[in-house]
Amino acid sequence: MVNIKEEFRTATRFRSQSDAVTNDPPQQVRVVVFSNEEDWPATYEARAMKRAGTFQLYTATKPRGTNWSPSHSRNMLYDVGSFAPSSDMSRTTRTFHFDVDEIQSISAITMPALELQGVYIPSGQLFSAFEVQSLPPASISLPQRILRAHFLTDVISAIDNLSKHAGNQTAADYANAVFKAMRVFRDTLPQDPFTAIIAALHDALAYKNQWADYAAPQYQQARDILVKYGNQDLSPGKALKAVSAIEDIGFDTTPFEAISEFETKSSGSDEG
Amino acid sequence: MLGARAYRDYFHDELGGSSAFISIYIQMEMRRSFLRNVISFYSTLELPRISTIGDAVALWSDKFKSSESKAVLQLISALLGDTNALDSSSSTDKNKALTVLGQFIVRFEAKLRTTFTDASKDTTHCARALVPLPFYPEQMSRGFQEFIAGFDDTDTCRSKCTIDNVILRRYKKEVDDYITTAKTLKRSVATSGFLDITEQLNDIVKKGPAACSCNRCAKIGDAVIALDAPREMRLEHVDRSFNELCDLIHQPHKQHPSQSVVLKRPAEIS
Repeated sequence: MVNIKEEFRTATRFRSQSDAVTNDPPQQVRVVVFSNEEDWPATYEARAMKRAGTFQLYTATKPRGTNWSPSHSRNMLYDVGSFAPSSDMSRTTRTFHFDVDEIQSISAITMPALELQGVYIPSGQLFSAFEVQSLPPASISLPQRILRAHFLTDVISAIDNLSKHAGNQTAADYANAVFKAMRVFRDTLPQDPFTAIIAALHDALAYKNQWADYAAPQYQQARDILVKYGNQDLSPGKALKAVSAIEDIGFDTTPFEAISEFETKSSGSDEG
Repeated sequence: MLGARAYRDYFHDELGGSSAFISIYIQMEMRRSFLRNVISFYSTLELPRISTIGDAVALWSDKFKSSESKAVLQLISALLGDTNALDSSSSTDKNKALTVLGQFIVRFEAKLRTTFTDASKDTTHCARALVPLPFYPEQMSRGFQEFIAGFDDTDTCRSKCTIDNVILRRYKKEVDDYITTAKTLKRSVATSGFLDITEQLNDIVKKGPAACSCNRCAKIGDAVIALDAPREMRLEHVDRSFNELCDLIHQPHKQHPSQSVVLKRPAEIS
């Protein structure tokens, strides 16, 4: 008998109010089942209630010594959901993916050893209180979102001022304000994926006073990127994409020098 | 990616707007020689008995003398002190430093992957190069530990790669030429890099596939890069060893001046 922990999370990327605001494309609901043992049952299944009211049953089987083999029973429609790719299957988790456009609720995760009752999700509402509590840390909470908006406003305001004075000696006053605002953001919300963007821009500007080298249009482009991504429920990957966008407009987010030490051991670099 | 501004500008001018290519094997070399050590410093700073940034720096300065560890300390000074104004003697700044350093690690790794175009050639099938570095904002050390577990599992990585095939079969003639040429050279500043590499290659040729390991690969990396470089591309390098390694196999290449030379003579170079 497999002892499955009485814990599962229905997670990530619900079509919440925030997603509606940012017009994010339809997201998937991810159901992660945790096990405290590595020996998983041969069969497990997740049930999803379609909007049309039909009941979908997903089953994955894993005969011992073989790979997981997702399959569908009854009249399965493949566009509703799927089992996660093998990369999502760690030794202690199994993941089901469902398209939020297609389903009304996740009704149950069933194991031979234990049936985990899911939570009925009322029509039109794709998450329940239980599931909200179970949101993984990667999806930021409402208080965190409010804090992000608050501190980001300070950063944006400071960048606006810096932009107006770019290229002028008075820019120094505003550069200082930018750094203070960014460091408050970083220190207050270190777990927010958005901090990756703030830290990247901070380091690009602060290293050797490079804030003095950037022009007003670049600051405005950076500001636009902060606003664009600041309004989103960022995944870590998306945060790094934003950092890449910061790089694309000319900010070097890794300006640090560490090569001189390598040169001392270099196999004969040419000094001549 | 780790040079001074003037050195980066030099390469920007030299390479112009054309695409710069990189193989995943070279990316692995960057991860091994630099990123892996930065993560080690992160782990040091995380230790409960390390109260401040200064404690971690003192430990490294005292115990570790390699050029790689000194490069990390150079980065730490610029990143934590100069750029982020963190107090090296303040215990409250330790957690801020972990955030800053963790963010740098994931940012650098992502930039390494996305800045250059993949040369789409890796005959070695280097499994180490494919170990992901996950980014968990809520617990960055977890991602680093996952990376370390995969990257340091050199037995598993070696079991998946084909470096022995590259050296002993695919480029056997070229490797034999390296070894033969090495026997005709006297050791000097100019030839020591090439001779060190060929000694390792000679040992592999004598002992066979069992002599191949990730540790050994770190010592013959330049040869692997030269052998596996697409012949229709030009290999840009700084180290002298590539001159012999490339010329002998007719691999187009160009040796660039070191950073110190560029910094000393910026007007002449540019």
